[in-house]
Parts: sequence; C-alpha cells; structure tokens
Amino acid sequence: MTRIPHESPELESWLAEAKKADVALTPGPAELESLGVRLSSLHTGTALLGAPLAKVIAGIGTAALLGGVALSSGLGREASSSPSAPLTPALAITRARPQSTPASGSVSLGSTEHAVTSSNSASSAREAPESAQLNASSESPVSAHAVRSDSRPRATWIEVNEALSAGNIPAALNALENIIAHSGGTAKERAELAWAQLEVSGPRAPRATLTLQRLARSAHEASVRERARSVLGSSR
Amino acid sequence: MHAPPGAEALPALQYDRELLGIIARNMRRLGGPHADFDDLVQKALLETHRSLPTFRGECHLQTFLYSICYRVWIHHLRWRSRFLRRFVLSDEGVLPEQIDSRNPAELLAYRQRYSELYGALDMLPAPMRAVVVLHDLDELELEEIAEIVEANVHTVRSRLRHGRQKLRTILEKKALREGHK
Repeated sequence: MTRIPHESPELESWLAEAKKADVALTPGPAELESLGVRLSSLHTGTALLGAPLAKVIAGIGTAALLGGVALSSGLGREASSSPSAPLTPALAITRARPQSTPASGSVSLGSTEHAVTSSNSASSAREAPESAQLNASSESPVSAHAVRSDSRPRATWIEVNEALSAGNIPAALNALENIIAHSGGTAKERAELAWAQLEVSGPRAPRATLTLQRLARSAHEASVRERARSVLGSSR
Repeated sequence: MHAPPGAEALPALQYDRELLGIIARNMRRLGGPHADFDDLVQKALLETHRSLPTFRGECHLQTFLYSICYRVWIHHLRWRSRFLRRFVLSDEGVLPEQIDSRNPAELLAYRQRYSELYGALDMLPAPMRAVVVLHDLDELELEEIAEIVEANVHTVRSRLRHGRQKLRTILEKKALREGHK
C-alpha cells in the first residue's frame, strides 16, 4: 500500500487545517434527517425516497430491477414501511403536497386528466393519506400515467418557457401537455411530467420548473423530428 | 425478505442509517456543498442498494462505497455540463446552512476554511479533484484510489501530483490577491 508524501509543507498544513474544518462541518444525523433523503427499508428491497427528477428516473430503473419500489417524499415526513412488508409489483411515487390540492383521486390539469390512482399495494397503502400517489399496475411496471390525446394546435416549448417566466404555471403545464400529447411522449417523459406537476407548487418548485422547460424542449424536438420524418417520407 | 448478500459482510453496520451517513459523507467530500447534494446521495444510495449483492468482499467496503459515489458524481457532472449548455439554473447554489450551537467564532473560522477548501477544489478537473480528496483528505492508499476511480496506480499518482501543484498555484494566487487588497 502506498501513500505519497507532500512536497510542499505549506500545502500539507493548509490541507490539514481544511480537513479539520471539513470534519467539524460534516453533517450529523440531524442534518441528514433534513436532507430529504429517506431509505426506510433497504432490507425489504423497498426504497423510499424523496424524488426530484434524478430520483424518479433512478427509482424507475430500480423498480424494473427489483420488481417493486416505493418512492416517497422525505420532506419532513418519515414514510412508513416495515421490514416485513411484502414486495409488490407496484411503483408508487409519493410526494408531500400543499393543503390546497386534493388529497386523493385524479389530478386534472388543463384538458388532460392523469391517471393518479390509489395504491394497490400493501406497503404503499400505509402511506400518509394527504400524499398524492402515482401508481403503476403490475401490467405496466413503469408508469400508468397517461396523457390524453389533444386536438388543440401544437404548442411550442417557447410558449412553455414564456409561461414559466411569467409565473403562469397552469399555462405552462397546459402547453407542455399539449406538446407531449402531440409528440406521443415516452414513458419517462410522462413520469417526469407527473413528477413536475406534483412539485410545481411545492418546495421543489424551482427544479420542477426546470424539468418542465427541459421536457418542453425535448418533446418539441421529438415532434419536430417526427414531422421532419413524415415530410421526408412523403416526398420520397 | 432478507438483506442483500452484501449486507452480511457488514455485521457491525446498522444497515440503512449508517449507510446513509457514509454515503452522504463520501459524496460531500467528492462534490462539496452543492444544491444537488441530496439528489446525489439519493442516487448513490439506490446504486449501492442495487450493487451490494455483487459485493464479494474483495476490497474494503469503504472502497466499494466510494467507487459507487465516484461513478454517480462523475455521471452527474457530465449530465450537468450538458444540461447547462441548454438551460440556466434558477436554483443554483449551495446547501442551506444548518443551525449550529457551537462556538460562533470557531464555527466561522471553520466555515471560512471549508469554503476556501471547496472553492479551490472546484477549480480542479473532477478526476484530479477526486484523487486529491481521496488521498489527502480521506487518507486512502493509492491502490484503493485506483480501484475507486478505475484508473491504474500510475495515473492516480500523476493526477495527485498535478492536482497538488494546481491547488498550490490556486492558493498562492489567492494569497497574492489578498495581499494586494
């Protein structure tokens, strides 16, 4: 085993001092509690976590692997799951949400109604009642979230950005749903949209806004590509 | 349902909480205080959970966990640089400061030193930074670092030498600037 001694004593002592500060400021259990990260039961294979975008995506990947993952917000609430809880084939994304939003049932935004259903799993049935749940059935392990087809003219990502910068979140969501409805949208995009919809009025609003911007752009690009393909196809 | 096989290698580790503590600490060392810190910890935890069954005990658990954190962090940096080419972040920043009951003067000195450290480390390329952090702050051996960053020992040695040189230059420049003020 090898270590390389310092050539510069000044740097060595500076790093030693910096390390002391780093150790002193290392987060303790209390700070970790406030991170918004919860893995309540790794033993059962049920990962419960606060779910910004990366977390949703990572969770979906893990869900496919494990057969079932419950994703849950860690914002001030410990999600409940006992080590003896059975693994279920369902994916439940659970987020804390403001009081003004409905406690359960469907979330309706613009012209589109999203499939937000009650949980069919034993473990996620124990989740806090005020949380919204996006739940996928065993037949559809990634997402049951559906964007209904939209007969309105296609919106553009610029419209979404403009609405977002004007602070008009419902308009932005509407335009984005329209774009995704026109472009078809992938399961990942729909899951991201569902997450952003739950988050835009919560503490993760800035990230949700960014997700909306990114989704709008990628969905728009996909629809442009699609149109280009159809134009090229018809000209041949 | 039983714990993953990797967990059996850790009788002393109270699995979930301690794992969270270790990963948070590793990630904080690698990435410093960052707005995406909780995302990174979360992702590394999931990766750990997924990878632990493949842990055969051929290296230290700490090395294994560090390698997961390193991969997650590097992947995030790549994603982030692509993302920033297209979008401007509105929630860019560092983690909010925690309330601390310790001596305020001591704490202030620590915070100053801490922000100097990560300010300087931020100026190093990620692979170089990781090697400096792992060797000089975490005091890992070159061989362990090579395993974590998936490079050979000579590369690690070279990154460490260049990283230290660069860090020294940064500190000298900073001292010079402060001397002029």
